[in-house]
This record gives sequence, C-alpha cells and structure tokens, in this order.
Amino acid sequence: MAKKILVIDDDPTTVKYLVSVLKNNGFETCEAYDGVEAMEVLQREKPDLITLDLEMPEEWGTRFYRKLRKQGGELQDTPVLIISAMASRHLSVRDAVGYLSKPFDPNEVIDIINQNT
Amino acid sequence: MAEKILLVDDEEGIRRVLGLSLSDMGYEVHTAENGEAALQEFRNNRPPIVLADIKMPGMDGIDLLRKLKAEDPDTEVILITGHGDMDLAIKSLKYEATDFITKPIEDRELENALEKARQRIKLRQQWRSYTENLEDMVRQKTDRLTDAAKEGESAEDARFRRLFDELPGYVAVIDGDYEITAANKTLKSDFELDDPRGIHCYKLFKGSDEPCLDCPVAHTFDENQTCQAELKFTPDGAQSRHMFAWTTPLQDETGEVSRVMIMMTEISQLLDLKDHLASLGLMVGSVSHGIKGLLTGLDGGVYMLNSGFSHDDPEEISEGLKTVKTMSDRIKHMVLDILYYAREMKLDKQPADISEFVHETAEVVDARAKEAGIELVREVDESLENSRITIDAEQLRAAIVNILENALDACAEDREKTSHRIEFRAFAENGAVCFDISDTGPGMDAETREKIFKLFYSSKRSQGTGIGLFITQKIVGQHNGTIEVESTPGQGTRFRIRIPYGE
Repeated sequence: MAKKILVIDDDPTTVKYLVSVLKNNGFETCEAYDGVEAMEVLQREKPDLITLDLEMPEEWGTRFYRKLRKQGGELQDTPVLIISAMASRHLSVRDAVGYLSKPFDPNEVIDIINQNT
Repeated sequence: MAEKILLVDDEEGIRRVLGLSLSDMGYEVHTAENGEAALQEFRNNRPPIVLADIKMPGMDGIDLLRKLKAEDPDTEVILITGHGDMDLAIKSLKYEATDFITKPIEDRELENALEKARQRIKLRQQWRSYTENLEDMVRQKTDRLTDAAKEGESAEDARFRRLFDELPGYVAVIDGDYEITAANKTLKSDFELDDPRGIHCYKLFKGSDEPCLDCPVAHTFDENQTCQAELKFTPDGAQSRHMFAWTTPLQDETGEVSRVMIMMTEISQLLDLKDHLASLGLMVGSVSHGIKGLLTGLDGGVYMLNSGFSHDDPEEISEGLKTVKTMSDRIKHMVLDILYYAREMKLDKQPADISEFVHETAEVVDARAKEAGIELVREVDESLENSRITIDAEQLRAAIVNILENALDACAEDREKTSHRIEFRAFAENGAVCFDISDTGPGMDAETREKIFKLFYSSKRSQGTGIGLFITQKIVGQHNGTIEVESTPGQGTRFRIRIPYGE
C-alpha cells in the first residue's frame, strides 16, 4: 500500500511542487496550509510522514510540531521532515528525520522519506 | 666744566678776595651782595653750592638759607659766621646748612666745607641715581613680572580659548538658570550668533520655552557628575538633528557646581548610517529568504513542467508553466524594487493634468483588478477638472501604484467578503491635492499599521519585499507631501496622500 505523506507549507507553490514530486514517486499525499488545518488533516488522514515548513507565520510550524509530539496516541511519533528556508537546524525541533533547506533537491526529499517510512 | 658757586656777602672786599680764592679752586663764581640779589642769581644760575654771610642787612643768611632750601632742598649752603655768631650757626644747622665757616676765613676751613658740600652733592647724586636705578630696576622687574604674568595668563587664556573654539562639535557653559555663559566658535557660527550668552539653552537648541525633561545639564547640577545623553535638536525653523552630549560639572572654590559644560557632537548621520546598515542587514536576510522561496517555486514549476511532459499530463504542464511565470514575475518585481531602493531618486517635476494622472495611474492596475474580479473606481473631483499640479508624474504614479497593488492584494486575500471594491479618488483640500485609495479588504491592526512604512516590513510574507510602501513614502516626501493611513480590521484600509501645489 502506498505510504501517505502530509505536506504542510503556507506557500501554495511549494505545496504543489512537493505533491507533484511525491506523487511521481508513488506516494499518496494530503496537504495543509496552516497549523490548525494541519492538525485536522493529521487526525483524519493519519499520514506515515510529515513534511513541515517551520517558517510559517505566527510560528504555526513550531507550534504544530510541539503539539504533535505532546498529544499522545499513535500519531505522536509520526516522522517529520523539515523543509524550510533556514539552512540550519531549528533549535526547538530536535528529533526530525531530516532538515532540508529551500530550494531543495527533490531526490533528497524522496531518499529521506524512503528511509523513514 | 667748572662747578658753579654763588658767593653772597654784603662786603665787596670779601666778595672779591673770597671770589678769587674760589676761582683759583676752579669754581665758576657768581656773586650777590644781599639776599634778594642772591635769590635772583640763584634762580638764574642754579649753583649747587651757595656760600653766604650769615649777617647781612635785609634778608640775613638764615632767611636766605631757608628760602634756598625751599627752592631747592639739594642746594648746599655754607654759611660764613663771625665770632660770637654761634647761636646763629647752630640755628643754621637746624635749617640744614651744609656747614659753616668762621671769619676770618681760612683756606683749609673753606676747602673742608666745600669738600663736605661736594661730597654731599656727590653722595646725593649717587644716592639719587642709585635710587632712581633701583626704582627703575624695581619698575623694570615689576613690569617684567607683570608683563610675564600678564603674557603668561593671556597666552594661557588664548590657548584655552583657541582650544575651546577649535573643539569639534559644540561646547557651551551653562549656568543654573539654563543660560549659556560661554560658547565655542563652532556653536556660534552654526547658530549664527555673535554672542549667545544669556540665551536659554532649551530655547536655542530646542526652540522650547521651558527646560527639557531628562536634561543632562540639570542632572549634572544635581548629581555633580558627568553625564552622557542623546539629544534631539529642534531649533526654530531648522531641521532637527540628533546630538550626542557629554556634560561636566564646573565647580567654584567651595566645591559647589556653579556651571555645567556641555559638549555635543552630531550623530544624525551616524544614526542614518546605523539605520541604513540595519536595513542592509535586514535586506540581505529578507532578500535571501525571499529568493530561496522564489527559487523553490521556480524549481517546482520546472519540475511540474518536466513531470507533466513525461506523463503527457496537460494539466500538470499548465500548472508548471503558470508557476514558472508567477515566480519569474515575482523575481522581476523584487529586483526592480531593490533597484528602486538602491537608486538615488531625483525628481523631474513637470506640470501634469490631475485628471489624466489619476486615470493613467489606475490603468496600470486595471488588468490585475479585472483578473481578480475587484472593482476599481476612479473619481476626480469637479474642482480639479483641467487643473494641473507640478509633480514627477512617473515617480508619483509608481508611489500610488504601490498602494493600489497592496489594496488589490489585500482584497484578493480577504475571503470573508464576496465582493471587493477599491476607490481611487482625487480632490482639493487646503492648497493641496489629496489622493485617496481605499479598499474593502481585511484591514490592518494598529501594530501592522505602524510598521507598514518601514523598510523591509511586509505583511505579505514571502510574497512581499517590504520595499513598496517605503519607496512610496520617500517619493511623497520628495514632493513635500504627506501620507497617512486609516484602517479598521475587517472593514478595509484607506491611504491618503496629500501633495501641495507648491511651485
């Protein structure tokens, strides 16, 4: 069965881009454009991995991440791949499976996802 | 030259004999037969030595002595006395006769008396010359000392004055009433004052009628300590300037702070530079951040194009193409904005028809408004029909287009309302033309409203460069205009640009 990836980014172009990359590599996708929406989609779709932009307004990204790790239940340990304009690791997000900075190499995205799903 | 001597005797025989003796001794002899004649002779010839008979008819020797001494106390008067004139002789000594000799006159006695007179004269001369010398010397020394002191003091003063005057920046001494008691050259010339003494510092520097709050001078008076402060000069009718000030207490003999010296240097340029550097730093951050986003988008577009072609998926191809186009547009915008910011703008002001200006400006964004389904209303007040204003139409149009585009973005983003409307109106008010741009978008909160004119502030996240309104404000400012904004969250935003008719 195809693995499902949740793409979270406030920039629609990036979402489209990632969705296209993932679909071409045989993944199922679902998407969210802010933290609140991401929580809903997460509960509903139960993805195998999440790609997350940390630089969304009002710290949606980091807040979503913290909430995810604290909520308990089966989804708490869903692997997260950070895809962000910031090159360095984000201090408040320490146990992501990977950190990619924009502009990213689609092959790297697929490699990391394959290793973690 | 022979020394003069006056011989006074009522007896002609004595005058002749004694005169011969005196001539032999080398004197230039003048004679007189009585007191009156003697005084006359004395006044004519000023002999230093007078030899006079003590007993004469009329004015006697003692009287003559007193008169001579009165006329010239330095005259050496030798009296000739007969036997039995001892009382007179003693009396004569009381009146400062040099000596007295007794008749019959012996040469040795005469010579002794004359010698005594000459000695006294010589001594007196020496004494006088010595005294004069001494006085002279004392005077010279004193003069030299005073001169030295004076010179020393004035040289020191001049040095301090020069130092005071040549100090870069402004230096002033201020008393407890905030009155300036001294100021250096730079301050005087910059403020065009010959003598700023007595002027209140707050009046001069701030154009204010009251002492300033947080005055470093007041602080220094209170605390007897040096103090540093940043001040803003807002003198009457002049541009405001940022200053950095040091104050130092000046104490009187009792240790009380009687005055405060304030030294100031302008830091406006430094602050500008600081702002500029901060802006540059922000720009690097903001631009690199923005570019990363744009490049990701471009990558995405190209990827989708590729993917679309390989799958023969027209929808994906068109999506990819659209993305590439959007991204290249955004990059173009960003680059132009940055170039705009970097360029030093010089205005080319020409009279322009206001109505034409409004319509041409609106046309720039017409296509975008239509595409987004937003109504763009333009309206020029009747009073402005066929009326002209001197502006750089290109620049001012760019300034207004920035606002119109923001209004479009705001309306497009606002999904709360079903339809949106932007009004672009021009009307006259108090010698100025007002351009109003109002939208029915989501509006801004107070915090956003405060920041919008700041360089690199953008509420549009990765899609904004944060340069647009900054440039708008700059252009409006170059037209001596003002720009203000009113906004209510949920209802919309209105910008008002006022451009005075000016020249």
